[in-house]
Amino acid sequence: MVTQRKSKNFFTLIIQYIEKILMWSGVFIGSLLMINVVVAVIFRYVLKSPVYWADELSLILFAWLTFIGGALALKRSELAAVTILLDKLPLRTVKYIHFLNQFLIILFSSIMIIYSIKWLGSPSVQNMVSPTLKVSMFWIYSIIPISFLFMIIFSVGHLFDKATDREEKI
Amino acid sequence: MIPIFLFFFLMILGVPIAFVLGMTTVGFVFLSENINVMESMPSRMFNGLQNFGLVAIPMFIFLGEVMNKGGITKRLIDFSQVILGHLKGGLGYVNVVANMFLASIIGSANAQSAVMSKVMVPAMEKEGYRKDFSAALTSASSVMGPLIPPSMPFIIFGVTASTSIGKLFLAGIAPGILLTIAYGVAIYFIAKKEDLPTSEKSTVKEVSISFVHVLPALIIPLFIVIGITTGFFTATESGAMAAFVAVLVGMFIYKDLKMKHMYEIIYRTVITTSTVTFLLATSNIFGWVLSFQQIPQLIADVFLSIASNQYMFLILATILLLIVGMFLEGIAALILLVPILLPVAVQFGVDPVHFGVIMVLNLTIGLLTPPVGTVLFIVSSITKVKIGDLVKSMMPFLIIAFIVLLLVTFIPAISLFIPSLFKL
Repeated sequence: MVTQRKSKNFFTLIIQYIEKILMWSGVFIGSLLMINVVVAVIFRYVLKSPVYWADELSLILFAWLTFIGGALALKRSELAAVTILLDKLPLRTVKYIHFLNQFLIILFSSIMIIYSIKWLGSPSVQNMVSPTLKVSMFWIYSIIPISFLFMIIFSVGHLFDKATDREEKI
Repeated sequence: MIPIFLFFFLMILGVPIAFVLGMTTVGFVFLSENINVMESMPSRMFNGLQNFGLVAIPMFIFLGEVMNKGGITKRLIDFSQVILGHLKGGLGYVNVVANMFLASIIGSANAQSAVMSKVMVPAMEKEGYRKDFSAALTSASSVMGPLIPPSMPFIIFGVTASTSIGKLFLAGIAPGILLTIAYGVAIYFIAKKEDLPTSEKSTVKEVSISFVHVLPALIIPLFIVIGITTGFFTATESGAMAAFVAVLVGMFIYKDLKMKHMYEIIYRTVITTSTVTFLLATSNIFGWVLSFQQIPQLIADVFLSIASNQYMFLILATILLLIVGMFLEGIAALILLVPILLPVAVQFGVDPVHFGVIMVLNLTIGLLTPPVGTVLFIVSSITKVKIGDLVKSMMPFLIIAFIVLLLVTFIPAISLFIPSLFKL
């Protein structure tokens, strides 16, 4: 029993660290996005010399923010869901349904990782650079498998929490 | 049939809607032996987000967060209080008008009801208003949030329907003001009937001080409206500039906003944004199933076979939207239904901008209707008024909102007059 408890704490701790890192990355990307759009507007309309790569950078940051934020929102159970049935079922049944849900999320995320790695490895992505920033699209698109990996980790964490009944609510 | 079954099954299991869309798509692709399509799914997800209009979403969410932390919300409420508080049922009017002001900076009913129920409901209770009435009025007034620009649902509608976000913003103004006036009239009669309390009349000096205080806050909506009506800024750019001005006002004029608040503000912005945009990303792969199965065409055929003219269609669409709004969160419903309903609406000759206003107003009212209404949940959990009591006290306002919805639906000019004044 002692070893089990120890491993649980260790695992929870790692998840907490990952969450912290993602939070900071999200805030960093969010700040960069805000600053980039504001600075681009000032350059375009006030200084009359548009930064030609600003819009592209905004779109990349926006996509990154979406996927990192999506993983964080999953971790915090903030993604919109229909809970009307769950509210009416007995707690025990709800617990099993949650198990199933987390399992499905892990399955879906794994499928997305497999196909996005296939896609990232394809020559069409490997040889493509972004139009204005000239960054390889491989790096830009890599956020998809990365974020789904985090989603898997967080879902496993949820499974773990529920199995050991550490989390009463949700 | 299988994707439809899978879709509803996952939905009632409480799987996050973003994942329901993704899983339904993957399930369908595997079953239909189109596995090659899977390789295009990640790029569909990413590219669905590559639209500069969508970048407006984090801008306006950030703006709303800055407002609250920067003391801007407080000044807007104070100002409404000194000009309207002395009337019979004064705080009722204050609630509605402050909501209208807030709506010109915040673009979401959820965000707005969260702020207002924390501030207005205790204030009204203290002056002797019934708590359930105060909470109900606050919930009902939050409908203004997405109608008066800026507006998160209009941004999403504009992007998914390839319609001008600027035009949609302008089209929401008159319906929003109509709703404000209608609520005002209702409060007038309720105040008479129930003998609602009156606050002390403010002196001219108090009014002028409050006006000076609120002026910097009013620059922000002005920025948004002028930016969009002149076509000088896109919605995204005006959102960014308004946010920038709000930060300056909060930090250097009101001095309520501190550097240490920024982490929390940006973190909330990231989370709130991605609950919407991640859903948009997966809805983009779900779009493949819709078009492969020709679902929009099937639904169009159903509508065409029942409805013989535009009005019949609008009635049917309204009923459908009200029912969907009862069960689905507004933004999710919007993301799902725009690609299905808009082509049908266009076939019936409905203007896309007008239809956008109809959908957004309809689904926002849906946030107030049980069993699933996010505004109800938010207000109830903050004010501790039971959902049942909340809905009961809200009935008069719900009926008014519904009448406004019908007016907006059947008189296109209410929405389309203001945008027609500007070249966009």
